[in-house]
Amino acid sequence: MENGTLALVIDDSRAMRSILRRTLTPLGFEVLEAGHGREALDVLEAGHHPAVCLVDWNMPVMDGYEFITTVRAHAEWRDITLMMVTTESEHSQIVKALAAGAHEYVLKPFTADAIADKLSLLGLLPEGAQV
Amino acid sequence: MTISLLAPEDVEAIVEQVWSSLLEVEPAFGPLPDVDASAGETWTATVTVSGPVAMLIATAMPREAAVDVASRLLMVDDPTTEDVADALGELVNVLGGNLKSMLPGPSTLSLPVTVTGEVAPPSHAEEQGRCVAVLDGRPISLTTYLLDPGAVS
Repeated sequence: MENGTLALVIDDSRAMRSILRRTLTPLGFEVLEAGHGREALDVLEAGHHPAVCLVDWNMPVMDGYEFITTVRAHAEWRDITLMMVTTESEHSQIVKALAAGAHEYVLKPFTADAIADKLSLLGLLPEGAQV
Repeated sequence: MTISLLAPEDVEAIVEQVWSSLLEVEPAFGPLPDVDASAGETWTATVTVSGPVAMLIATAMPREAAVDVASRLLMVDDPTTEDVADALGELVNVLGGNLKSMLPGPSTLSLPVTVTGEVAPPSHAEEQGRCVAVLDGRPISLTTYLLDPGAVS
């Protein structure tokens, strides 16, 4: 539905969604938000096709891990980059998320530069974005 | 006697890192401001760590500081009550997640809960540590309680 600069921020905290929106918008992303994994799936099923989803781990209704496994089970969403943004720092959890199909893992608290650097490494920064 | 699991200097370092990133302000750990602790409303946000060590992590502050935290996180001048609850929940979530990384694992972190008033830990809980920082002259505490002190003594 959209071009490649759409980002979907999935976090149960509106404060964190606001921070990520403020991080992504200056980089040239159009930002959609969801409060948990199920709500994010609704966004995808509605036809939105983000270039990247930034996904919290601990959320009500559907957590980030279940969201990732669900997205990866759908061929039509295979090209969506999944980035975990979470306080979940245990090595086993990081390995679990990456094995399930997450491309990147960012620990909270993060800096705007850290997010931009990860997106740059993934080749996802919109053309003309200033890092 | 309970083994100290979290060194005070490590807790302060986490508070400093989290405040700098989320609130864009450096915490002051020096002398506490002269405030009447019994005056006004207190807001408290908590998360629980479950694992080899069970811990309740609580951050508490006067209403004015809670509103300030929400304003800084959401970048709004006049946050709603819902905004304040959300912002404090995210603050304790990030603090709790970073403290959890210093505890024996594997462990899980609960979703945050924010309430007005003080949180009374369970009667068997034992205060493990307490750190108080100052934001614009108002104290914000971070207290950790062992929920199963016998397991680590």
